[in-house]
Amino acid sequence: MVWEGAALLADIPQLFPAPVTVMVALGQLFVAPGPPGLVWAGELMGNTLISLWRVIVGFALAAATGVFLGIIIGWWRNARDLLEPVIELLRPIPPLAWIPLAMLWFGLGFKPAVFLIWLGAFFPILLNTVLGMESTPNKLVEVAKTLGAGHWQILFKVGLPSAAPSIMAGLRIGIGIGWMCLVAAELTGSNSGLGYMIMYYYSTMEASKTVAGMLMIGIVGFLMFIGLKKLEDKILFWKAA
Amino acid sequence: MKLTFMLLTGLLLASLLIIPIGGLTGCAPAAPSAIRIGYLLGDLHHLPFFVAEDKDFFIEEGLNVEVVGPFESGPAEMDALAAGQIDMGYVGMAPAVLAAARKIPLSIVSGVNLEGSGLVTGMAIGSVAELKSKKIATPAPGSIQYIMFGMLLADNNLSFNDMEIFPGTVKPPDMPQSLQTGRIDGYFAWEPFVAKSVVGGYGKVLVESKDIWPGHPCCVIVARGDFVGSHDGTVAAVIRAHRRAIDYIETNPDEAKAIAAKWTKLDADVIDNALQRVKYTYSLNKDDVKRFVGEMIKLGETGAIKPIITSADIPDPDKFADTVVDTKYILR
Repeated sequence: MVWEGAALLADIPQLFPAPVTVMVALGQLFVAPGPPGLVWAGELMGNTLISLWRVIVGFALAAATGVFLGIIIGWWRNARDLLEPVIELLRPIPPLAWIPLAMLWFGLGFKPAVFLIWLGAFFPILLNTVLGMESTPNKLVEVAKTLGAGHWQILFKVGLPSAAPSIMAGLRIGIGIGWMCLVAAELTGSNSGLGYMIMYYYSTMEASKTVAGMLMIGIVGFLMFIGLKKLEDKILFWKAA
Repeated sequence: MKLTFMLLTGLLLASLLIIPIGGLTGCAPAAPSAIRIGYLLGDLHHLPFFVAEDKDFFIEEGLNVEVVGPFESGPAEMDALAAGQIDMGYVGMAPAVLAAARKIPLSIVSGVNLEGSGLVTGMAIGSVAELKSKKIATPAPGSIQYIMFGMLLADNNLSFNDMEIFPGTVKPPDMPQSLQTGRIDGYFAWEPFVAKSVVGGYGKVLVESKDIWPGHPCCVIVARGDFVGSHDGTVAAVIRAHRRAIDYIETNPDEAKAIAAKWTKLDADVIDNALQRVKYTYSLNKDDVKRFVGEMIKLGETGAIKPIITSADIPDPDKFADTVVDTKYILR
């Protein structure tokens, strides 16, 4: 109601579309033909599916590389001493600053978007994994050693389960940042996806459709967060207990 | 102490009295009219604005111009106009028409240039028919270049569906480099981005925009709706300075090129090449607006492009052009 009232007061639909017009725009985008190859899905869902696919691929790569490197850095001091300076040098560079290079290296469309998602999601996953591994209680490691466990057994039976909550938190943060990077990546060098859709309707000055696209990004981001939280509760059942 | 206080108070009161009297008697010069004008990033079509600024034509017309920008795109500049952040702007006719169609109150008060865009491709492409399945970048959807590319394709029995189009997501300043590195096979853009690839030797002009629509309109000057109504004299002064700048470009081409180089940071050979395709003019034609609107509606209705403006948005292009175009300033 506040939004509707403010839009009524502003009286410039191009700058401040009312919620009713945004809902109408959502409906129009839902039934409009989708992007090439996904015409059946409609414009809104077709572009959402494209964005989701990009984020799934980028996130999967970030999860695999981030967790793998995080375990190595968090478990072996030599690896940490060697890799930490490089990581700390690259980490502060915002993923968006990589857009020109991403386009140069990977061209346009799918690949640079996946690269930027990977970049956005990788560091939180890596750092949380490192933190989790480093926080493995020494007491548990000592007990395992006393019971005759080997190095790999201690890593997989003690270190990883102990780091799991931290890794899951990293994955949750990572997918959120990845999703934000995706939208930014699709604003440049792309011709499909939710970010592109927003840019398209911004250019044609259809503010209600631009806001509808933004709303969809929020909805998908929220659903991903809820989904991952539920998955976390399932995997880390001992934490809930 | 009391005396000092009285003296100071007396001085203050006297100064308050004297200042308005000075103003009334004309002792102080009249304050120039303040106006905020926007323009687009690296757009050689806006050379008259650069010249008017550089040669102090605005100041000589009694204007205090605050330059706002450069804006990255026409829609961004039109948003700034709607939000009251600029009073007038040098911008493409297309975003101005789109903004007016979306009920942003504005008037197009002068022309800036005609023609001056082109379809650039790599050397291997020899005809429009060969664009099938290729990657082509265009400025934002709804821009004059986007619409004219649609017209060109329709004339060649093609449409945007026959190729991979990147509308507005490869910015014109990035287009030449994208072509050079093979990320795209061609692009349709305004100057100087056409000339950049030509002079660089990695691109050629496959079709000039004048061959699609001879004498087509391109950039214009717009003024905010409420500003035109309340600042008639200021708008007229801007247009006078603009006309002087256009005359200057015609009579002093070398100096104008130097000013272009200063504002756009482009090499002289790129400017030389680009200016061969741009015609600067203040003239303004309502029929051009009508035709542009008609072409945009037609391309959308035939499915050649995704509809941007429909007959529902502009049911009567004649009336629309009459409302949006205000020729009184160029006729004064």
